[in-house]
Order: sequence, then structure tokens, then C-alpha cells
Amino acid sequence: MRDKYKNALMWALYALLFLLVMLLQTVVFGRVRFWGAKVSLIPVAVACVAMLNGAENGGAFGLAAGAVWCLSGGDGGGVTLMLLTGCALFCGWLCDRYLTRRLLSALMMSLLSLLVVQGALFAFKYYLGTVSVSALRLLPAQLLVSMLACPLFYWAAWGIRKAGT
Amino acid sequence: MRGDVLKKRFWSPKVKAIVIIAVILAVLTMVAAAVSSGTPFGENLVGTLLSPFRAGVAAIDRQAERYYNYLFSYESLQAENAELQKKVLSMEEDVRTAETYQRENERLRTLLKLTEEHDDYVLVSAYITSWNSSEYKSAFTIGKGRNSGLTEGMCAVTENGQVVGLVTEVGANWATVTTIMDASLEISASISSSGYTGVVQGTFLPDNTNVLRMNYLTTDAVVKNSDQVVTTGSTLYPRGLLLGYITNVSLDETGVAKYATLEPSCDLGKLEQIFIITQYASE
Repeated sequence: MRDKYKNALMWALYALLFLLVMLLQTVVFGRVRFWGAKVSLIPVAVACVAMLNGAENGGAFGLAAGAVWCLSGGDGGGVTLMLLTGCALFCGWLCDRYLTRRLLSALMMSLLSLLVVQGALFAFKYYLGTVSVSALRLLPAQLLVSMLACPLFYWAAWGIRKAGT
Repeated sequence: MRGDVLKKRFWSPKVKAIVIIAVILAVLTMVAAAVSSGTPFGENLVGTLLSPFRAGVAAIDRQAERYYNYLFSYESLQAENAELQKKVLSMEEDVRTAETYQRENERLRTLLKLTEEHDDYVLVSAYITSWNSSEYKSAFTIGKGRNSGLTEGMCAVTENGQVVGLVTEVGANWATVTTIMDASLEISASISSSGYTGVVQGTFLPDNTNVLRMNYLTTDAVVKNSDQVVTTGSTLYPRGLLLGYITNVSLDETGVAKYATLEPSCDLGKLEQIFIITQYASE
């Protein structure tokens, strides 16, 4: 009973963390550009949670986060939903199988998720003809700025996981 | 053999279920967005639930920005204030000169008339609660929606009547305004001094800067820098609203039409509050 309560508390706190990250990304940093690029915090947060909770639980979190992001009118819609779910599953699986759950792994998983999500979104928009190939130059700045949030999200996710186990 | 073991471990029944649900949800949202005429139900629900949180965080963000500006930008604010005072004095002098030499000045009368003409506008004020975080989209969410009488296609303006954008999605207590800088928005416009018409649209240049362009001008159009570009009106917003000022004119990529680069009339980066024109007397 106590374990179930702790588990529910953990996922409620993860949901709260995701809500906070989403509001930070859209409200606080929504119009701020760093070296021309906007921050992309959602893939970082999803990667941090997924790597700590494994492929199955992390994947479910990625799916839920992607669905909320998509339904809130976020960039990429259904494509982002699938990308976030896929990244969460893969990050969780890599950490289950090969990596230790540490900050360094979180940094690698976050970078991987950012590259996949933003790269695929760019490719999708490029295919639709809404952006030019030169817009790809914004990607390094976006990765750099977004990665700065990784330690913060990792420690928050780690603290929440500790409270739930 | 080892590959099979890894494959089995990754593709557990739970993982398969998650992937299937993700694909179904993604397809459903894409189909819903494609076939629904208004805002899809799911998006409306999530937007409605998020709206109070967005409004709360936006209010805190505004307050924090004010404190920050007060603490760290005091000197620049003082300088700006001094500059503005100079401008006010200069403008007051201009007005005095105008009153002395040309009391019957036609432009002032027209301006006064214009102010009176705006009495027919019914405006709904709204604060910006969040911005679209995409690199390639220029849109923001406001804390007013269908409950306040907003519908898709209505025009968002500043307190000075400068066009900010159009309402593109509406929920119960939220709405999305796509700004004039967005590439997906096309607004029918004309040059107020000469009457040439075209379509104003946000465009990304190869160097990643986002500019406002007036496309489809005829090749014989005589266009001057600083000419005002205004809306030609539609069933949902009035004509004569200021979009921007012409800064440059060139032949477009096809060579059979001209385009003009515009400077937007309002600074989108500094917007906090906007006004939606919900009703006006059509001509």
C-alpha cells in the first residue's frame, strides 16, 4: 500500500515537473532567443526522466508528455509525439542495458534526444518546404542552450525518483 | 543470437503497446487537425486546462521582468526617459507651430476624424500568456477565448491600432494569435499612398532572419520607402489597419512581379497586451 502511494506520488511529481518545464519553455522562454535560437527543454526533461525509470516506464512518460505537448498546440504535433515516445523508449532501454544512471549518461541521452527531435522536426519542415536548409545553422546554438538545463532536470528527476522508491 | 536477445528485451509487450498507442494518437491528432473546421476537442480541452497556469506564470514572469528592469536597467530607463522627454518637447513645439500657422490643417482634421471613426470598433483586451517555442513559427497564446466572443480570423492590434496578427485557434478561455511575421499567414494589403495591392506575409531569409514581405505587386508599381501598408479588410477585420512601412522594393524570384520588404509597424518582442477587434462597422 505504502509502495503504491509512493509510486503514485512519484508520477504525480513527474507530471508536475513536466508541466513546469512546458510552462518555462512556452511562457518564460517562448520569445527569448539565444544566438538566434529558442531553447527546447521538453526533450531534455523527457530524456532525464526516461533514463532514470527504464524503457517501459520512461516510454509511458514520453508518450504522456508527447500527447500533452501535441494537444497543447506545441510545435510538430503528432510528429513530436512519436519522437518523444521513441526517444524516451530508447534512452530508457540504453540505460537499462548499457549505461549507469548518472549525470554523464543524462547529458548523453539529453543530447541524443535533442538531436533526434530537433533534427527530425527540421527534416519534416524542410520536406514540407516551410524552412530553408540554412535554418539548420540554428541547431548548434539550440542544443548548447538547451543542454544547460540538463543537470537541473536530472537532479530534479533523480530527487523525485528517490522520493518514490 | 545476441542481437535477438537484445531485440526481445527491447520489444517487450509493454513497449509494443506504448509504440502502438503513440502511433494511433499521432495519426488521430493529425487527422483531427486536418478534418476539423475549428479547434479539435482534445486541443481545446488541454488548452482550457493549461490556460490558468499559463496566465499565472505569465503574470509572475511580467512582474519578475519589471523588477529586473528596475534593478538592472535603471540607467538605461533614465536615458530613455530623457530621450522621450526631448521628443515630447519637440512634438509639442510641432503642434504649437501647426496651431499657429495652419489651424485648418487638413491632416489634423483627418486624424481627428480617424479617431472618431474607430468608435465603431468593439475591442477585447487580452494579455499574452505564452509564445510558440518553435524556431520557424511566430505565434502566441492569449488568455481570452470563445467566452469573450473571439472567433478564428479576427484581427489582433496594439493600442495604437497596429496589426499584430490574426486569431487562428480559439478555445473556451484561450486563443492562439499567429503574428504577421509568420510564414503561414497571408494578409491582403494595399499601399495607402498609391493604392497598389498585394499580399503581406512573413518570410525567412537565407540568413535566418525573419522579415515581412508584401508580395505580388505589379512590376509597374511605383513604391517609395516609408510608404504605409495597410489592410484591405475582410469579413472579419476592417480595412485601413497599419501593417508596416516599406523599406525596400525588388523584383521577386519569378521576375514577373515585385515585392516590398516591410518594417512591421509594431515591435512584437515588446508586446504584453493586445486588443482583438471583435466587431466593427463594415463599409
